[in-house]
Amino acid sequence: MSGGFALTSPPFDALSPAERERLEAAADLVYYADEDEILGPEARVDTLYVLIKGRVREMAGDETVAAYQAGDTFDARALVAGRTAHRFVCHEEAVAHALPRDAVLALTETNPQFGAFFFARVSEKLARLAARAGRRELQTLLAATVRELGVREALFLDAADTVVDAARAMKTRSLHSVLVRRGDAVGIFTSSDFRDVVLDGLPGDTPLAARARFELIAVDADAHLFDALLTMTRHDVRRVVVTERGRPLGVLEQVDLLSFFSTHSHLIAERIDRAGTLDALADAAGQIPLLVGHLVDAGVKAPHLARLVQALNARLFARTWQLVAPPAVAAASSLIVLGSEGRGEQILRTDQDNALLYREGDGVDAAAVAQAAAAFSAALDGFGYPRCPGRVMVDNPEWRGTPAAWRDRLYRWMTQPDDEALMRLAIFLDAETVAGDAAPLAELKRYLDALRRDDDALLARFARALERFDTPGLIAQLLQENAPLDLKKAGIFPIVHGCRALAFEHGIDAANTFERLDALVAQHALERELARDLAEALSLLMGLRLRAGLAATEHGRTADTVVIPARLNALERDLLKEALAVVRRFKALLRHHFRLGAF
Amino acid sequence: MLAALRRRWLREKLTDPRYAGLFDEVDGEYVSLDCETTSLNVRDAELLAIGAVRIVGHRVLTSTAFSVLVRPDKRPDAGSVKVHGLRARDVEAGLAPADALYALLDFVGGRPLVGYYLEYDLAVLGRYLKPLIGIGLPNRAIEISARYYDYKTRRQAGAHVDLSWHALLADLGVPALPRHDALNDATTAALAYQALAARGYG
Repeated sequence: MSGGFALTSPPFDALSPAERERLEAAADLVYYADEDEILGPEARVDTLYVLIKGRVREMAGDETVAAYQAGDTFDARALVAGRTAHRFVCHEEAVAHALPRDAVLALTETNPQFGAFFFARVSEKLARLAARAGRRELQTLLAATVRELGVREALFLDAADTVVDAARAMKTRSLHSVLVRRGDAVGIFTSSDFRDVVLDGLPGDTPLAARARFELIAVDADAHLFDALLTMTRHDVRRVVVTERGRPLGVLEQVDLLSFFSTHSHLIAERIDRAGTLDALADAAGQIPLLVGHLVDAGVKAPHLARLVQALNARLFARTWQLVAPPAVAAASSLIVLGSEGRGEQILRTDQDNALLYREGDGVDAAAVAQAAAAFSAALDGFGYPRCPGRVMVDNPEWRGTPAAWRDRLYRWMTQPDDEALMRLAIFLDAETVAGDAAPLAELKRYLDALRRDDDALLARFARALERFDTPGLIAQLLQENAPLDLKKAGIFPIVHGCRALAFEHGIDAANTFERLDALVAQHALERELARDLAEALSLLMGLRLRAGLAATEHGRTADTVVIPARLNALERDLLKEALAVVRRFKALLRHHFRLGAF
Repeated sequence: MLAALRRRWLREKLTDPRYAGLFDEVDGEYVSLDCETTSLNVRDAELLAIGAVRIVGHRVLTSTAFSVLVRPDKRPDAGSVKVHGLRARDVEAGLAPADALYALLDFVGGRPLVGYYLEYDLAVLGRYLKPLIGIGLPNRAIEISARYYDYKTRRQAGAHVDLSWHALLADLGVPALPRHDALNDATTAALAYQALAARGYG
């Protein structure tokens, strides 16, 4: 055993006593003096360290990006990769467990909960944490088995069949994969294998045997959905083969899993669409927070949840507008949501952020629209969506108008960009149409894009808001117990605004940050690796904010965005540190890109 | 000079040539050593347990540590049971003393030894070893309390130095394992040695 020091901190608390004993038996102890380098880019990473005493800092170049203290583990990511770009330096005389890579990786294979810590993306790690914390009872969603969800029947082809045969079969049957028989062995051939076939310049008559993979990643039909999700995550695949007593039965697609998690929302959506009065709508609206609570418990990731809530809110707002606006006004107008609601990144209810675009004529004039707008804002207020303190609402004449009026407004914001105008611009860039014709908004965004092309300096002024808040490396928080961290200011806003500025620069009209990241990668405006890290970081921060918000509302407080890092457990702190390190990297890149130092 | 003479003298007294390797000092590796015995009297104390762990660079190799129980000829006296917690029935399953000592010799090889009041352990071990190989452990011995004393007095000449194990560990910031388990004590001593080495007193 590891010199008698027990391995009890997360994730090792997920190990069985026998597993822990085996791991401890394989462990050494290490001692480092101040400023000794423990891990660095030059050496292979074959050890996972768990601090018993002392402190270690993680350096990216000259910048400290994270700090570790007793009970903390470093560095899971480096261990899996076998290398690290960062240097881990002893900050204060450190004693640590040194766990051999092979033993740790072997445990990730045999103990899924422990494995999740290493293979799960940051966001899934959070879901695992929630599950382990057992904050509330295990939900039926997690307890459901693969069989209960229903499995897509697999289509079997022969190993001698060609890739063209497979393509034809997959097209007619709308499948993403086929199973391939070769004697007794069964392999899988998926749509992404086609990509490689094309890339490798293979002919269409290439037999499937040459390309199918015969090491199946499988789950049993009676496995829990959660295990299936974990298996997909761990192997980074979109589908797994479902087996029964070792025999392939069918294929489980990740998209089926995720949609299963969201089907519970269909009931609410139907109630919204059927509601004939504002009272009936208020009832349906009241279901949304309950659904959020259930899905959080079920381990659904914050970004998925946010898109779901956005879709429900959009239907709610649209139905409300239909009920309060006279038919002529409804027909001539487009209702727009803005800010985080527009981006689809809002989960708990926050202020109303909305706007209106309308055509005059046919009995529609400013007065009629104003009346309907006032009724709309009041109705939402009644549903529990508070009025926006900044008055970014349809009942404010500055946030409604004809396309011509909106053009004047946008022109003014772009040409006289004071802080107020830049803030409004940022809010407007996240706009999405939820009711009525989407074309007028799209037209306005194109107009904005054209204006932006004429003014390079504007982008830098626009991006400068990034500097408004500092993103700490968490060192200060660790040293100073109970210091709070504002997730929104330190992490969420820099990612969102940075992506917004880059999307603006590249004429990307997506409003959702994850979609903006994808589009930026597609345009080679952002490294794929960084975009993935940012998506993970945002996902984590949204999850932490959601939990902080839920906890606050449970205690009757308004949802806020503040966490106390010292009160998070070692794993959560580890994740938060990683996320903030990514944010700092992104800010440094943007500072350079937009030449923010020049101001 | 004297040390070299003493080693040459011991080498001549070695009766078992298989252990000539004890005299070939290994560079950069150490063995931290601790024994539990039936009493604190060197002359009649009997071995109950031996714990030893290698130190290589930053590492204390607990994964390949040496830890044996030794079956004594006499029952442990009541007083010493209170210290080490090893009752007669616990050590009954232990190795015969000669087997334990040959295994220890193989484990130590030519590595210098590290320990806290090592002199006592070496004296007891020597009493057992002489009938087997003609000599006790000839390895260079690094006394932690002595190195700690040097470290403290070099920084502040004439200072009173508390050499108790507890005070020494607390001052060096070394996390202590539960005491009076031979391997635990050897492991803690290994960490204390590394802390001293980091301060230039290895």
